[in-house]
Amino acid sequence: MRALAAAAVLAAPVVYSAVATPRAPGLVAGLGIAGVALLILGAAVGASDFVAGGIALAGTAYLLLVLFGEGGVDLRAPLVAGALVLAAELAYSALEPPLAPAAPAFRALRAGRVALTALGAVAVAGLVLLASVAELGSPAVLEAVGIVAAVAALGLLALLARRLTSPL
Amino acid sequence: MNRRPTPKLGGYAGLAALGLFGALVAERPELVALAAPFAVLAALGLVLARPPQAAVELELEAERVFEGEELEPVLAVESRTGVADLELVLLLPHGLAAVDGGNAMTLRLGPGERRELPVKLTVDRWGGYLLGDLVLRARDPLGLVHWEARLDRRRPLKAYPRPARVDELLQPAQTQVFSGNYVSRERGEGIEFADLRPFAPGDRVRRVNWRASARRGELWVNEYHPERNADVVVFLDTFAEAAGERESTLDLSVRAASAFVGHYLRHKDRVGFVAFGGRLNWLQPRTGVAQLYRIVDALVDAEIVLNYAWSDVDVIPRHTLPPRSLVVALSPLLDDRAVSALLDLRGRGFDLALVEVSPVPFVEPGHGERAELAHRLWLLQRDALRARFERAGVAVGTWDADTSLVGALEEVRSFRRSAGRAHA
Repeated sequence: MRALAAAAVLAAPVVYSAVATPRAPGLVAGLGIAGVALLILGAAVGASDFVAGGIALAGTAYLLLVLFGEGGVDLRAPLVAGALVLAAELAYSALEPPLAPAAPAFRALRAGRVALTALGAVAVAGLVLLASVAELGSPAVLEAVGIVAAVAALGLLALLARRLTSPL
Repeated sequence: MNRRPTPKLGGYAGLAALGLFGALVAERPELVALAAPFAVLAALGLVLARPPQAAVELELEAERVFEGEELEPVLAVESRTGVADLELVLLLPHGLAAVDGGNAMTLRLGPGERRELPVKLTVDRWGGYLLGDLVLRARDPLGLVHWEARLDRRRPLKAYPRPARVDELLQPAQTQVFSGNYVSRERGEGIEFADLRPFAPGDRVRRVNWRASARRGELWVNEYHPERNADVVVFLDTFAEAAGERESTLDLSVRAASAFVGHYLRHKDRVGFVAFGGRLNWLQPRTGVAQLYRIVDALVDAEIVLNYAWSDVDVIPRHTLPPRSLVVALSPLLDDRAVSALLDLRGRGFDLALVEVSPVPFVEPGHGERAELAHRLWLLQRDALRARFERAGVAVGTWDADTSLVGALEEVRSFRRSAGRAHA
């Protein structure tokens, strides 16, 4: 059920990308559909890599829309980010069956957390987009900041993940 | 608790990396907007992921229950740091069942919060259990990290068999020397009139039968049958059993044995116990409530242990089978060793009564002519075996789950009344 909901949520940005792209709608749609199918397959067989791959393909379909577009920043990007995060949350929750049944109140709490996460994703994406549009510095400086941020983010993730997986 | 990252953490980190590097290559801020939430979630999840430090204890209200009863152990859960999402499963051994799946639960604990969670269980079968094997899984608020643990909070629980319903039990043919409830064949002090005899020096005056004395012209006294107790040994065949989905011949035997033991001990008899099978277990005959608990505890431990070695009654300690005791045997008569031992006991002069716990209802006849023929031959073999016991002077009553034990005991009583016994 959650896998189907994830697929439905992921289909929204895919449809948007396929409809709004000025060029190669077939390619964009194909990539998007492949992403949705991969996500459903991943949730069905319990393959988490397929879920990430499905999200990535749907994101690539949106990237093609952005690249083929007429220039200018797509202000709907935060909504697309929210949809991708919501689809990911739903799909990953379907991957790991619960050990114990949850009371309806607890299920509502979990659903609330997922919804808040998706809203938070929209907010973060909106802030990032705002920062990029606001011309806070020279393009070169901004690019350097971006590179450092990307590398720092990956480095932090790798460090924290290594701490997490090291034996206790 | 063992911590491990969920697949979601790796997926989010990968998507964030892919998006950020894609944004650098394509020089599009939209990709940064797509990747940033994944990166922020992954980093937040790792930062917020703290070990839950959950402690769980199991409280059992009673360590002894009866088969078929409900019990409600309580799981006391607390956490110093709080847990956003804690799943808890109390693993149940075979024989215990949860009411409405209540042995698995999900909860949220605040920092320092303690919750007491009752778990409703039913005891489906008698036996000894260890209850308290727990599985825990805790998640951080974003579901990126799991902590799992298996806790051993096992406490012993004994489920006593539900005694089978009996109104009247078998009367032993011979009694012992202590006071009891059976009218003995001997002569002495009692209530039941036995005989008259001439007065002898030392006899009490109140025993003089004045009417007989007047008729005979000399003093004659009444003699009575004293009330005595008896020695009873409950003999349980644990070599083999026939089992269905819900119960087996051993289950029925243990319930019947529990009824016999309780009844005879209430009548002030000395009761002993022998579990004769792959593993021998015995208790010498004694009286009292303590003996009841000893025998019931021994019954709870009774089980079928596969063993191919030949055993006979010589392995049973002599004090466990006192002379002149009534041996009440419960057996499905599936194993030759049990059959041989019972006939040997009869040959040694024991007063033996056999309740055959029939395996027939547990055996489905096969399909086809040969299978049906084999099944009929098997039934005829069992009839021949019963006849062999009866020829040896052993009363046999057949009992299964669909019939009453009272009927089987009446069968035995009827045989004992009509056949009479030959003393060894």
